[in-house]
Amino acid sequence: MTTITGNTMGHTPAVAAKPDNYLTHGKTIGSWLFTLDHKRIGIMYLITALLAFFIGGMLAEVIRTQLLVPQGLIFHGTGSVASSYAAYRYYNQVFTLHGIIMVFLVLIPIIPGALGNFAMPLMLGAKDVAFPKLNLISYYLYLVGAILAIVSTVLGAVDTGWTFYTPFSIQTESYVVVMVLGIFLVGFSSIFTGINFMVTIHKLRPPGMSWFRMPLFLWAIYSTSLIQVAATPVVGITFVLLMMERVMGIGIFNPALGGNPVLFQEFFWFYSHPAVYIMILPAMGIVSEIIPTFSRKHIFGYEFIALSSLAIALIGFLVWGHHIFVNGQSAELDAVFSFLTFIVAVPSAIKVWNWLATMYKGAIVLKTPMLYVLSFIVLFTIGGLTGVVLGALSEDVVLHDTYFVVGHFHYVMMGGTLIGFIAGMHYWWPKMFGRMYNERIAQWTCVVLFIGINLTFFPQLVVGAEGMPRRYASYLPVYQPYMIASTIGAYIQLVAFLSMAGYLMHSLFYGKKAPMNPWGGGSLEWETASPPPHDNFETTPSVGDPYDYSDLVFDPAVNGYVHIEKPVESLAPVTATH
Amino acid sequence: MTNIPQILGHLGQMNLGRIVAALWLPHGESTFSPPVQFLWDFWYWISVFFTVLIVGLVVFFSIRYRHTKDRTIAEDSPSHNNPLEITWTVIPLIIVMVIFALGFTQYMNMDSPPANSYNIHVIAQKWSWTFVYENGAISNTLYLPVNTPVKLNMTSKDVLHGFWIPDLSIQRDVVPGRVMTTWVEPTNPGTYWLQCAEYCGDGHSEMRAHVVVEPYAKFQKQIVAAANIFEQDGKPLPLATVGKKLYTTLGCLGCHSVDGSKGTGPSWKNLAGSTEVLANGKTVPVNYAFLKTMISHPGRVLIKGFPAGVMPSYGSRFTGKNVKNLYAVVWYINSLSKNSNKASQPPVPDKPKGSEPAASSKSPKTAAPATAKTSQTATPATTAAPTTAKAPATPVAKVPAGPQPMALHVLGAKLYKSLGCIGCHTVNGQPGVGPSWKNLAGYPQKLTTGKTVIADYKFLRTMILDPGKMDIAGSPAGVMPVMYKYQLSGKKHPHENKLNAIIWYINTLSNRGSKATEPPVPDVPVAK
Amino acid sequence: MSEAIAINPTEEQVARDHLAHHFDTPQQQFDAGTLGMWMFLATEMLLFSGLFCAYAEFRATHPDVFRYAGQYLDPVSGLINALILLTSGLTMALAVRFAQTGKRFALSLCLALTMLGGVGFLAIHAKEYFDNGQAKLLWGTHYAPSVGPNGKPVAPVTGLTALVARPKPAASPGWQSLKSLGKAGFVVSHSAIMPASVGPSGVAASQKPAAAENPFQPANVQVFFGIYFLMTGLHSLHVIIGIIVIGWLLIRSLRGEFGPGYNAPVVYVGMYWGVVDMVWMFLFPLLYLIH
Repeated sequence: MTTITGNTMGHTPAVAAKPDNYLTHGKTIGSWLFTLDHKRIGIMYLITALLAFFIGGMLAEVIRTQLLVPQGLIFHGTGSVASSYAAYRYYNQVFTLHGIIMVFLVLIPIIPGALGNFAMPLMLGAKDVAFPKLNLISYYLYLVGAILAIVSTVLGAVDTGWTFYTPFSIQTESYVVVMVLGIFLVGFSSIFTGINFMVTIHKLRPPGMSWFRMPLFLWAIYSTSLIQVAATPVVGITFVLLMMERVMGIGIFNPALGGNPVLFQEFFWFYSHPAVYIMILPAMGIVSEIIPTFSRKHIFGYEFIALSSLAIALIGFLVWGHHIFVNGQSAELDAVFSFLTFIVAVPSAIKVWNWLATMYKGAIVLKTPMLYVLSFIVLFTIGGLTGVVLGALSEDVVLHDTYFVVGHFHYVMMGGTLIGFIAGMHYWWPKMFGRMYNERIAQWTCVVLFIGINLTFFPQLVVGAEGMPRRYASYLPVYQPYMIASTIGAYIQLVAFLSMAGYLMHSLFYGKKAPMNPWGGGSLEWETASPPPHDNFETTPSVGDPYDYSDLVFDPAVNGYVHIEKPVESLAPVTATH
Repeated sequence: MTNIPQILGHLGQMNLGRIVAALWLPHGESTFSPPVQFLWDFWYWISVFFTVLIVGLVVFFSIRYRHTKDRTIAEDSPSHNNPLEITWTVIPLIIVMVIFALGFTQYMNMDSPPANSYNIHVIAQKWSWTFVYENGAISNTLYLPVNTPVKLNMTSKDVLHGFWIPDLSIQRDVVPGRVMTTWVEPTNPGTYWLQCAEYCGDGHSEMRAHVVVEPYAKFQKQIVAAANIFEQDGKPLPLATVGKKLYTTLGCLGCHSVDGSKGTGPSWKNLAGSTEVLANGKTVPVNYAFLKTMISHPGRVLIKGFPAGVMPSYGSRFTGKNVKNLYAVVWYINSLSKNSNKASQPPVPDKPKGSEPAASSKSPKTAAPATAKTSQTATPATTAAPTTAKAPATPVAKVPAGPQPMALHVLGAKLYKSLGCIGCHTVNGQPGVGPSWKNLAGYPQKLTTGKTVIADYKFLRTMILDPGKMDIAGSPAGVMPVMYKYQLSGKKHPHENKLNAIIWYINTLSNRGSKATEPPVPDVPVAK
Repeated sequence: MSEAIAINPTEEQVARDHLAHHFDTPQQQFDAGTLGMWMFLATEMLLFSGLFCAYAEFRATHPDVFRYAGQYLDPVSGLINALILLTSGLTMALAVRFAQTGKRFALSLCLALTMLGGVGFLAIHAKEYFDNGQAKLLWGTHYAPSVGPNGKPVAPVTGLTALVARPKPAASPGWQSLKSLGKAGFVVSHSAIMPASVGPSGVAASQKPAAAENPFQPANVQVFFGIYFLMTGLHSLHVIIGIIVIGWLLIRSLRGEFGPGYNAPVVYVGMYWGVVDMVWMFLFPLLYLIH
C-alpha cells in the first residue's frame, strides 16, 4: 500500500496556528547545550550515538577487511613471527575499540537515551521527565565518557577486548585507565537515566493511565531502567577496581599479588549480562508499539508482553555465569546458571508468539518501520535460537569463544537491538523532525540491510561451529570462504547505512511536512503536533487504550490519521480538534 | 594477495551439503564427541523447525492480511487468550528443559576424569603451548595416545588462555595462579589443531599447536625420544641446535625475531657481542653476563625502548641443574650474530672448532621462525651432525622406571618434573602457587587451622596423597590436584616407591632433614 | 514524616515558588524527589556491594590472612568512629525535623554538628591511615611491615590505641629482627609476592621482594589491606562528599532558605547521610572485629 501520495502539505491546524515547536523554541547554541527539554536532550543523544555508531561501524569494516585473507590483509607481519605479532596488536586495538564503542556508546544508551528521552514523556502525556537537570547531566556524562574513550584511542589505544579481562588488562601497555574512566562515566549516565525514567513512570503518569494501560514501550523502558539502576553500579565498582589495579597495584584481580582474576569475570558479567537485556528490552518495546499500529489491530496478550519484560529483567540478573562455563567454576554452579539461562529464554519466546498473534487477521501496512520490525522478528529468532545451544553446558564447551558466539550476539545485538532502534527511529522520525523520509528508498534500504546482516553473520555461525575462535587477527586458510562471504555482507551493510544516512538527511531539508499522526498510532505522542511544541501538549490529552485504533481513520487531506467521532461506549474520548 | 585458485580449492573442499545437513561441528574424534553431536543435531532440527515456522508465519501474515483498499481495518479477533499463552509458554519450556538436561549430564561426564588417566602438564604462555609428559619430555606438539584417557593439568605463566581442541570437543580456560584440569579420550588417530580461545594479546591468533593422536606404542616411543633434548638418536647435539629448539619450545620466538625485524623484545640477530643502551641511558656490551641476566632475571635490567614487565620469568628453567639450557640458548644467540666473540659466549664450549652444524645454524636462513613456529619441535631438526666433543651430561636420562636402580632422590627429582609438581613448587625458595620445597622438610608449617606442625615424613605424605586434608596457611586451598593419590598411594602398591622418592628429594633440598622427615625406605639402592 | 505539619499561606507560596513547571503539586515533586533519592541510594549500596562480595570471596578463600591481618587494625578507633557517625546521624535527623518545623537556628546548629562529626570521623581515620603507611601495612607490593623476632608485627595496632598506648619503640628495628630470624634458621628471603614478570607493567623493575617474611605470616596478607583500603577509602570519599553537601546546606540554612514550605534538600541529604552511617556499621565489624 502506498499512502504518502497526497500533495497537501501536512499542516494540521494546531501547527499552523502556532508554528513554534521545540526545535525552533530557542535558536542559540546555548539554548541547545543547556536545554532541559527532554526532546532536545533526546536529539543530542541521537546525534552523539549515531556518530559513535559511524565510528564503530567503520572499525567493523576494517575488521572485516583484515579478515579477507588468512594472514591478514591490513595488519600483517613482514615475515617473522615477532613482526606479525606487532602488527596484530593494531588489529586487536581495532576490535577492542569496535566492541567498546558499540556496546557502551551505542547499544546501551541509544534507545533509552535517544528514543526513550524523546518519546517517553510524550507517551505519558507529561511535560518532561521527573528530573530534567539530571537528564542533562546524564547526557554530558555520556558525552564526556565518549570523548575520553576517543582520547584514550588517540593516546595509544586499548587492546584488551571490550571485556577487559584481568590479568591481561592489568599488564597491557595501553591506555586502559582512560578508557575505563570513560566507561565508568557512561555507566553513571546510564544509572541516572534509569533513575530518572523509573521515577517519571512512577510519578508522572497522567490520571487514568494505570500500569496496565501504559504503552508497552514504557513497560520495556521501565524494565530496562530497573536493570540499569541495579546492575550498572556493580560494573562501576569493578572498573574502579581495575583502575586501582593499574594505578596503585591494589591486587584484588591480579594473581601475581594474590588476587583472583576470575572474580573480575564474575563482576563484569554480573553487569554485562543484564546489560544485554538493557539493549534488547527497549527494542522489544518498540516492536510492541509498531506491530499493532501497522497491523491496525489491538496488541495480543498485553499483560504477557508487559510482564515478560519484567521477568526477563529479573531473571536476567541470575544468569551471568553462563559466560564463564569453561573458566573452572564448579560444575554444580554451572548447572544452576545453565538452568536459569534456559528459563530466561522462555519470556522472549512468549513475546514473539504474541507479536505474531497480533498480526493475525490484522490489516498489515508494510511501511518502513513495519518492515524493520519483521526483520527484527526473523533475526532475533535466529539470534535467540543460537543462544539456546550456547546455554547447553556440553555444547558451550565446544562453542565458547568461537565465531559462533560472535555470530549469535551480532544477530541479537545488530539484528535485535539495532534493527529495533532503526525501526523506532523511522517510526518517530516524523514526530521528531516534522518531516517524512522517502518511503520507497527506505523500504529498499531495509531489504538490503536485511540481506547484508544475514550474509555477514550467518557464515560466522558456521565457521565458529567448525572451529574458528573469536578475536583472531589471522586464521587457518580453511575458513577463508566463510570469512570472504562475511566481509561481503559487511560491505553490503555499509551500502545500506550510507543510503539510510542519505535519505534521512535529505528528509530533514526536503522531506514532506509530517502530519500529526502519520501511521495511525494510538498512544499519546500522536496527539500533539509534529514536531511537538516546547511544552509537549497544548492541552492535556486524555488517556485511553493505546492500542485501540477503531476511531482513527486515514485522512488524505492531512496525509495522516485523524480521530472520528466514536460511539458513546468508546473508551478513548476524542481529544484532537480538527 | 588473495589467491583465487586457492580459494576455489577451499570452496571445493567445503561440503556444502554439510551446512544443509546440520553437520557444522567438526567430526568429533573423542569419546565426548558423539553425545555433543547428538545434542547439536537435536537442537539444530528444532531450531530449523521454529525458524521456518516463524519466518513462514511472518511472510504468510504479511501477504494474507495485507492492508488494501478493501481491507483498511483489522478483522475482529480477540486480543488475549490464556490457554494459547500457556501453550506457547509450556512447549518451549519443555524443549529447553530437555536440552538443559542433556547438556548437563554430558558436562558432568566431561568434568570427571577417570582415575587411571595419563597425565600431561600443559603450560600456556604468551603465545605458545608447552606440554610436559609423565617422563619429563617436553614438546610443543601435543601427543596423545589413542583410546586412553588423558588428564590435562594446565597452568598459565601470564594471562588467561583458552585450551581448545575443536576436533576433540574439549575446551577449558587456563587461569594464571591455578591448576586447571580437563580430560579427553581420543578415539581416532590423526592430527588436529589446538587453538587458544581466550584472548591473550598480540599473538593470540597464532597461539596454535598441533595435536597428534597416535597408537599407544608410537606415542610412548615419541615421548621417550622427546625427553632428551640434548641428544638425538643417542648422539649429543651441538648446544646451538638445542638452543634453537628451546627458542621455539620455550616461546622466545613470540617476542624475539632472529632476522632483525622488530618485535616486543629485541631481535636476536647480531645481538651477541654488540652493545645495548639501557633504560637509564648507559651503554653496555652484550656479553655472556649480560645475556645471562636478561634471560634468567628479566626485569632486573631494562633496555631502552622495550616495555618492562613483559618477559615472563622462566623460574628454574635456566638456573641450577638447568643451566645447560642457558648455555644452549646463549650459544644459539651467538650463532645468530656476526659480532659473536669470546666474551659473549658461554663458558662451556659448544663443539670443536670448525664443525659443520655451527656453520649451518649461523646461516640466518635456517633460523627463519616462520617455519619454526609450526614445525614439530619434539622431533629434533635434522641438521645435527655427529661430533666427537664431549657434550655435558644430560640432566634427564631415561624413563624413570628404568631397569637400572637409581638413588631415590634422583628419581624424585625426575618425578618432580614429570608429575608436574614443578608447576607450583619451586626448589630454590622462590614462591609459587604452593610452598617451595627448599627447606621444607623439618621446618614448622603453619596451617589454616592456626596450628603449627613440623613438616615430617607423615606430614609430607599426607600433603601429597590427600592434599585437601590440611591447608598450609598462605597457599590457596583446593589447588593441588588429588590425582596423586591414585598414582602414588597404596602400601603394597609399586607406586609407593615413587612417593618415597619424592619425599627423599624434598629431604635433599632441606638443611633440616632428619630421621623423622625421611621415608622409612633407604635412599641408596639396596642392590648396590 | 512531614504531613502533620501545618503550612501557612506564606509557606505555601514558598512551596509554589520552588515547583518545577512539569509537576502539578509540590507534594508530587517532593515524592518524585524522594523516590529518586531512594533509588540513588540503592545504587550506592550496590556500589559497595561489589566490594562486600570481594571481601566475602577473599575471606572464604584466605581465612588465615584475615585473622592474621585483623590484629593490625584498632577496634577502639573503629568503635569510636561508629559512635561518632551514630551521633552525627542523630543530629542530621534532628536537622531534618527542624527544617520541617521551621526552627532555623536549631537547623543550622544541627547541620554544623553533623559536619563536625564527619570531620572528626575523617581525622581519626586519617590517623589510622597514617599509621598504616608508617608501618607499611599497605596493599600489593607496598605491603612490607617489620616483624619482631617472634613473628609478631612490631607495631601491632594502629589508630587511637597506638596514640594512647604506643608500644615501646621496637628494640630491634626491621633488619635486625630479620637477622635474628635468619639465625633461628628461618628463610628470610621468602617473599609473599611473585617475581616481577607477571606484575603490572612499569613496576617490574622495582618489584623486589617487598617484605622479608617470617614463617608465621600467611602469604598474601597484602590482599586484606587492598580490600581494607578500598572499602574504607570509598566510604571516606562518601563522608567527604557528605560534608561538602552539608556545608552547602548550612550556607543556605543560614540564609534562611529552608522552612516548612521548602526543605526537600535537607530531607534528601539526611537520607544520604543515613546510608553513609549505615555502611560504616557494616564495615566496622567486618574489618575491625575479625576473631
